[in-house]
Amino acid sequence: MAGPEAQPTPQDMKSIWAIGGGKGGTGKSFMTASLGIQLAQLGRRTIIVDADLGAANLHTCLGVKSPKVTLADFLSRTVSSLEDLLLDTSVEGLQFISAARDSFELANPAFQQKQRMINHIKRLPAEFIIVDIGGGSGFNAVDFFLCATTGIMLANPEPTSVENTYRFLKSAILRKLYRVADGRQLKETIREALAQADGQEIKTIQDLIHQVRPYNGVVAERLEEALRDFRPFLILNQARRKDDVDLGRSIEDIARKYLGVEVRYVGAVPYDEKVHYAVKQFKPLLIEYPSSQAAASIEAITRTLLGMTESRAVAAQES
Amino acid sequence: MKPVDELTLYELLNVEPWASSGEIRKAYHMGLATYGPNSIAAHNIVDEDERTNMRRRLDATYRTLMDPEGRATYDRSLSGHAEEPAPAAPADTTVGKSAAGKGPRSFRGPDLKRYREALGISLKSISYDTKIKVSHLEAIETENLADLPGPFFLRGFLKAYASCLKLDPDELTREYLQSST
Repeated sequence: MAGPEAQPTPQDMKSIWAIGGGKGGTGKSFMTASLGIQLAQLGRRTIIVDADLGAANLHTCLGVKSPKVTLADFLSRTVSSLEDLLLDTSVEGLQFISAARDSFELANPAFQQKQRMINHIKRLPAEFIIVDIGGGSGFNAVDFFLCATTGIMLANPEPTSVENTYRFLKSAILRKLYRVADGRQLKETIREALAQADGQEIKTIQDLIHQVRPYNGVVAERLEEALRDFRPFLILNQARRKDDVDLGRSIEDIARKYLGVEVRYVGAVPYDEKVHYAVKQFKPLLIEYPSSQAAASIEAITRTLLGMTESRAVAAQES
Repeated sequence: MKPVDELTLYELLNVEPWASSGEIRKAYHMGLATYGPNSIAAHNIVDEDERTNMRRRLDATYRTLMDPEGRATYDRSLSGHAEEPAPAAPADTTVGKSAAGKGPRSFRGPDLKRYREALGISLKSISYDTKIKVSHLEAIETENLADLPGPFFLRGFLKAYASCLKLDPDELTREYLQSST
């Protein structure tokens, strides 16, 4: 089925949602496809981008077996614009860009290639652009996450996944802090502040900022501002019990108290065999099993994310 | 963002200062689960000693806030702190009613609404900052108190509303309640 015509959308109207979270196998491609389908079904023009370089499988979640053009064509400059890679899907209002056809170059893009890709993603013609950034907490994943207007972490209610969620958060915080304060100046200030700590325990990032403040107020202020601006969302996938669902609140609490980051938990998708059936049939869950429990929770999560991102945009405009 | 050792009892529980005892109980149990010995959320990020310390603080917090007298004493000590000029929000940034022609004409709902609109602040943004529903904020401005959840909450709502407009929370709350109830 044909997708909508590519009309340029003003950049300031655009929402870019990045789906990441540290660990592979938590269901990021499934969630990216599902959020994209749900947004399109709500009448919001959406493009989903597979930036899980080297482990791409978004096309499979969308039921497209072998995409004709992929990011490899963009990185090798066979095509000059990311827009040339847009593929229609069976859902009206939803297009996607695949990263299938793995290559070493695709899995490890050079810094300029990554920047070029980010710039092109920002210019894609849609109201919503959802980017699957894959697992891992390396700079590739984190940079895509930080360039988005909305960062969404996906985790499973298991110790390994939760551990990697914090690792991802710490990596993103550090990357953000290094961006706001000149890396060398920051290192120097932190080293000297720690030397002055005089046996006081530094348990959290707030403790560190507190310690840096009397030593270098400007750096402390910039660090604090960077932390305030960083408010990623969290979704839990494959929740089996009530305490799995509650885990999101506990992660919010610990991230706030020990990392100084306001994580917003927007809900859990229950474990549902229908997800497994849909993937095995190469069909999106929301199309094949629209009345499943997992599909219902994805609709609720999408609506929550929409409401929150829009109120954040209003608040940002007003401030 | 405060260091974890400097959090108020309400911040420790992640509840608002006007939280009901039911909300406090729920938040306390949530906290015990978060910092419990088998917590998945605390795994490899909050060590055993710190978890024990947090559970002790949560127990002490729960005892204080569930005792009406203990909570009232604590709240008074908090507002005492609030009167000290804080670097982030100096006390002199709040304005009183008609102070130097800057404040609202009175602390009645319609005057507050006019004042808010003159500042260009939307109810939606106040709601976003305070987590108070827009319908409750509208009820405050129309003085439709029957639509609000009760005097205890109203007091908290008014203080939060006042802070968003940089008005003196105590003065606004006192005068609003005197004139509209």
